[in-house]
Amino acid sequence: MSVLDIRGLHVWFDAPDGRSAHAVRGVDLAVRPGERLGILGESGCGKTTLILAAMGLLPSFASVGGQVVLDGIDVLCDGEKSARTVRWTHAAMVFQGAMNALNPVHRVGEQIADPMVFHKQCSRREAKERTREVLGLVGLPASVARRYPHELSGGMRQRAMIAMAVACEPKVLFADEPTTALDVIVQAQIGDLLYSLSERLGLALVLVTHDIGMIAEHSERSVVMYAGVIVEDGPTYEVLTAPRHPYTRLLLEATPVVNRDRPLVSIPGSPPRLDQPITGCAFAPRCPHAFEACAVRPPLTGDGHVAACHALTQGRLS
Amino acid sequence: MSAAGSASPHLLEVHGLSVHFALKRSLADRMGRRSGRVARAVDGVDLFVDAGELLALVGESGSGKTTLALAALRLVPVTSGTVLLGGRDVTRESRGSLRSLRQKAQLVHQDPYASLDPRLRVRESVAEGLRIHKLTSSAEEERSRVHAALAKVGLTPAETFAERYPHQLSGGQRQRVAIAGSLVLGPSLLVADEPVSMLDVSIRAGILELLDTLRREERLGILMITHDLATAAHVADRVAVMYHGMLVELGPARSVVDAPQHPYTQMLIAAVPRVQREEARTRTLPGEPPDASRVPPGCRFHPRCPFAEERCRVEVPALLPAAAGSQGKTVVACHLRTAAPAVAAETADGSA
Repeated sequence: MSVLDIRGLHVWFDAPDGRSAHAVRGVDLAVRPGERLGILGESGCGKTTLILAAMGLLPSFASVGGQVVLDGIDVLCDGEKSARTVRWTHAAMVFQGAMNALNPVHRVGEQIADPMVFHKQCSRREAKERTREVLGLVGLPASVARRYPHELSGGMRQRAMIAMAVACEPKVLFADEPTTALDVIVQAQIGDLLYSLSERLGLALVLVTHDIGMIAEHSERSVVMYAGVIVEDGPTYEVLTAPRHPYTRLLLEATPVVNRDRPLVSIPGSPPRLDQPITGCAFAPRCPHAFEACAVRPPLTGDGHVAACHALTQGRLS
Repeated sequence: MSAAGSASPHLLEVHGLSVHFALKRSLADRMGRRSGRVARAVDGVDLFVDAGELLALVGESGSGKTTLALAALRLVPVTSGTVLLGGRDVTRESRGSLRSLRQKAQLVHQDPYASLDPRLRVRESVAEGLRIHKLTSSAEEERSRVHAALAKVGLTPAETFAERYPHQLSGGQRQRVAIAGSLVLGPSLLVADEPVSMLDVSIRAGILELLDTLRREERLGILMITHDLATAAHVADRVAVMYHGMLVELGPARSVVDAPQHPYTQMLIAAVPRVQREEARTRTLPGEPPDASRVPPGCRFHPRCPFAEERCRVEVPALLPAAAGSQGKTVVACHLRTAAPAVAAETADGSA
């Protein structure tokens, strides 16, 4: 039984001039309760769009196809109404810019309590009690509740956001680049916190990032996206040490690693434009192994560790 | 005062550089008739960069690394100390001669999406410096220098790229345009402030490679500011680690990364995520980044240091050769890592 089940998801962003960008081009993804999943990819590959769609948070100029079932609720079928039911209580999200996600004119404690009052119909008093509890859970002193966001450091603000996210006991926590705006040491602290919360609360964690190190340490399963599709999906350790898809391989070679002396490579070319139709494998124009078969879109193949690549299935990759 | 201009072997020399910012006096300060607090962003830093060398300056935000680099270009007022660029003291130049110095030392910003004017074509952005410094006499000469700079950063054919607007370029191409805008002035020093942190992983290597080529082929000295030790380890000759306004460790890139001496450097390296999972989550990373306006006595790292002793709370450690583990090539500011304090003669202060 999956806590999040995405089937055949497509997302188009419609521009006013009639063109539209096909940002997510058919994604199937199931997440088990308590699973820690990392979604890896460069900017523009559709990873953020995918989780926004799962939360029903896409803007009005987006059109969506497919199905998203979150904790038994069909998110897309009922428009804003079902999405509202899902948010905070079944799934919550931690955003990228911790600096800007909190409202500067309200005390941190009130902001953490708000979704509880709104969704769980618990009283302000109870919510206040629970706020203390969740602040402790994320390693902040209870006194933070009375502070304003500007009085907190970036790391503390991100912790407060995480406290708000877990306050209503959701089943799934989405984290969109939760550490990008933070310092190295704080990044590691926040990553560790997300991991331990997921372990203690049995929370499924969906971690969206372009940071391979973040995925390596804080998820057991990794999904690699390219141009709106999943190109590889498997146990994190395998994906990072024995990558199958040529894109994953190149991405790993482009990433600097401490304590290892090897030249860095860059991937030639750039990702395809999403406002023009893509036929076949989207990575083929940049792929060193591309051949005739790549004109047809490859399916995800394999057992447990899957990848979408013709060269792989035909044994052309070493 | 040292004799400025006396055959200095280094391209950039920084001696005892301090940058302090006065903070606004708080109400409590005024009521207590105290003077306002001072943020000691950079406090007594000694450093040099050679021609053809890439020095990486590593630290958290608030460590003073950007302020140090800006002070070296005199883009922020220097409180005390000297900065010698090609033998001339940047801190004492008049405004007029500062302009010619700035031509020699160029800054590359972090965010190529913000550093380029969206309304200017690439050729106009690149030519801006030439015009300000009045370096070309004809439109023809300007064109050829702009094209040469674009070719140097790998934007070929230069004729095509010159006519484009920033929105038609990828992030990596934009950063190349920004670098071309610096190169066109023929600098000897490039200060790059987090030049790849806004870029996607797949194109970072290309920009780092470009910096490496410029260093080797143009003999540029490069001061690269970064918070990413892994990137520093890949491209830098030497790495300087800053904490709370001071250098805490300085040495060859490999030995700083493979055998970090200072507890702070060790903590930074422990924070870098790895693919191999065993050591994950056994680490402890205590504390919050420092606040430049509240300087602890003694070693500035002692409130977060797992090894701090009584001495660390009182006595400020000097930057001295490490006692063990790095073949004496690394200098470190830590009481527990340096040899007996008698070797103080090692400090670069020839003028006794």
